[in-house]
Order: sequence, then C-alpha cells, then structure tokens
Amino acid sequence: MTHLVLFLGRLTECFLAINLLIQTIEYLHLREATGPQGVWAFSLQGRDFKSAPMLHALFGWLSQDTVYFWLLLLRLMACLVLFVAGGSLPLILFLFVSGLFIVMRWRGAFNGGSDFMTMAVMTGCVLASVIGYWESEELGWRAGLIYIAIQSATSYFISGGVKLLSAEWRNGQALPLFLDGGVYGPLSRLSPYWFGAVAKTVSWAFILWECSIPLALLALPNALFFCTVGLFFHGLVFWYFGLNRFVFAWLSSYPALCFIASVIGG
Amino acid sequence: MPELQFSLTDGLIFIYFLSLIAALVLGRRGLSTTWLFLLRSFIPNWRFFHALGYTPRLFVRIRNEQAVWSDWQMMIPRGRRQWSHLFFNADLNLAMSEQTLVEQLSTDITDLPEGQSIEQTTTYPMVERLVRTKLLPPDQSWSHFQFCLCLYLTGKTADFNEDMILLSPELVRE
Repeated sequence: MTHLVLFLGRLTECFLAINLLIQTIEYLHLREATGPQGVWAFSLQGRDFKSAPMLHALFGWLSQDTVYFWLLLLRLMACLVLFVAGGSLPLILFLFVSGLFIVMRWRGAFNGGSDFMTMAVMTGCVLASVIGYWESEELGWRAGLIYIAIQSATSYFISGGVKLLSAEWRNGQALPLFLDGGVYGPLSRLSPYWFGAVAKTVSWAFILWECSIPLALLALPNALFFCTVGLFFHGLVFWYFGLNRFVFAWLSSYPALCFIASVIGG
Repeated sequence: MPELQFSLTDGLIFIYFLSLIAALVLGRRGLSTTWLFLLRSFIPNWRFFHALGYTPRLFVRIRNEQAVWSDWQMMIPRGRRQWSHLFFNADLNLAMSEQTLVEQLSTDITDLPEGQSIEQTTTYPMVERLVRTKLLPPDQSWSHFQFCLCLYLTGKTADFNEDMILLSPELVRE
C-alpha cells in the first residue's frame, strides 16, 4: 500500500505541474490585462484592498509589471521542478502562496471552477508536504489524497445533483440554451441538440455519470472507469464550452479518487 | 535541557486552537464580504451550468459627429474552436473572465448599500475600462459612447425598457 500511496501522490504532483504550467503560460500571455492600462490594472482593482493598507502596499508591489513577470517566470520554473523532481515543502508553499496571490489579483478567480479545483489540489499537496515533513511521507500523502478526493467527489456529486433537481436539465431544455450562449455559439439551427430527444439523452448521461461518483469509490476498477469517462466528459466540456483548464484541474484530482477506491475496495 | 518533540497530533491540536482564536477574532470584527469575494477560490462552488436563469449582458453604443446614436451592440465572448486550445486558450479564457466581471457588476448593483453609488465600487471603473479599451471601434467616426447592463432570461432577447439595470452617462472618447 505504501508504494501505491506514494505513486499516486507523485502522479498528483505531475498532473498538478502540467495544470499549473498551462495556467502560468496563459497568465504570462495576459499581462497586458493586468498591466497599468489593462482592465485589471492595480490602480482600479486596488480598491478591493483599501481596508488593509499593508496588503494594499504588498499587492501593489507584487502587481508591478516587472515583479509580476518575474513571479510568473519563477512559478514556471517551480512547475517544471515539481514535474521532474517532485515537490518539497518550500516549493509547494511557493506554488500555493503565489497561486493565492494570482487568484486574488484576478479578483478571487480567473476561471471559476478550475481555480477552485486547482486550489483544492494545491491544498492537498500542502497538507501532504507539511505532514510529510513533520511525520512520514506516506501519512502526508494519505491525508492530502483524502482531502483532494473529498473535494473532487463532492464536486461531481453536487454538480450532478443540482442538475437532477433542475427541471430544465431533466427535460433537455437547458443544454442547447447553454451551448447557444456559450463561447462557440450561437448553436446552428440544424444542430441535433435542438432536438428534444438528443438533448435529453445527453443531459441525462451527464447527470447520471456525475451522480454515480459514490459507486466509483467502491473499487479501483470502478474508479479507473469513472476517471476514463471523466476525461471524455471534460474533453466534451472543453470542445463545447472552451474550458481547457477544467480538464487538467480535475485530472490532477483523479489519483486521489483512485486512492480512496483502493482503500475502500481493498 | 530536555529536547522538545512534537507529534502530528500536537500540531493538529495547535491548528485547532489557532482556528478557534481566529474564529473568535474574526467573529468580533466580522469578515468583510470583499475578503470572502477575493478568497472565493477556497469556497467550493459546484454549480456549473446548473440552471437557466437571468444572465447579465453588457451593451455598448456610440454617437457620431451628427449626434446620432448607433444601435446597442451586445458584448458576448466568442471564439473559434481549435484542438490546440486544450493546451493554450488564454484569449478565450480572458474573454470569459470579462463576462464574469460583467456578472459581478450586476451582483454589485443588486447588493449596493443604501447611499452608495455604483461608480464607487471596484467593478464599475473596470467595466468602463473594458468598454473603452476593447469594445469600441477604433475608427474616428464617433465622439461619445454609452454602455448599459441588461438582465434577462437565458435564451430570450433583451428588452431595453424592461431589462436595463444600469445605464452609464454619455462618456467622451479619450
């Protein structure tokens, strides 16, 4: 079991590194938006920090073009080290704190749910590193993976449950309207998703798959099957809604789901 | 001098009491909603595309030198689908983030405290800059612009008389 825990912990680090690498490259590309003339210029966004002068000064300094650029470059290198050599306490803490700064710089979130899941996996890795430093690496990863698995499994279950309770999702009405208003919309009038039966079938497939997460945690083969379908599901979400970050954010939580399944399933 | 040794349990007990103290201090002061907003990436949000509802949309119009206003143009993030965007989709993600900003403006309008104007919020000047820098045509045929926010049901068309929740003053081109 020790080997499996450490292997799944290392896999989490590799997937997280890929996720953070993609995000950091995108942030580097988007520096104009956070620069002095951008929509997220600190001269405008700094109002959020007016109640805390010291944090205002700190964020003001970190938000300077050059400082922000070097911070992102440093983060890029930290991601590569995480992928190649694995995490250490200082490295994980740097990635966590810099990640926190970046999401606050984008007023709490840049890409909604993917930021949340990235922070959840990061928190699990912090937990693993801190406990690993204090006690043993195995115990650290056990705690970290359990934390990540709880967040990931709950995200699927609640998301599916909320859709299940929505009449528009159950009757297939919601899907084409979301697609129509999405980034790759408007949906062609000839799209099959406008046909009730197709939309209803696809909607129910999503709902049932998301709600089936408790079954996935009962045994490792179930979890592996769930994660494979999950990749396909997130691939579709990327293809239809442009949410590329969601693919990698949730992928980095899959080793934790497999860990729980292997513990429960024996 | 005896060597101090701490176990994981000691650490967890320490964290537990630290969180109790933090809760007591924060409970007295009251955690501002701004800080909750900035730290919302730690707060689980599992309602992705959960239900059809009211969507806020930003509209922009320009006035030419003959003082004639154009029709309202809606801002809607759109992009072209490419497989390579799986690994790099910065511009589309930014466009979605801009729409989130518009949604935040709508929330700010709803939650605006008595006696405060929307211009005093953080979001309003950011949206104004979004309009100025990204949504207006680059040509010289216009001198003034205006933006508005409409809140209407997903899948419907905006009715400017019924759905408008914010109308900016007439703004001069910089």
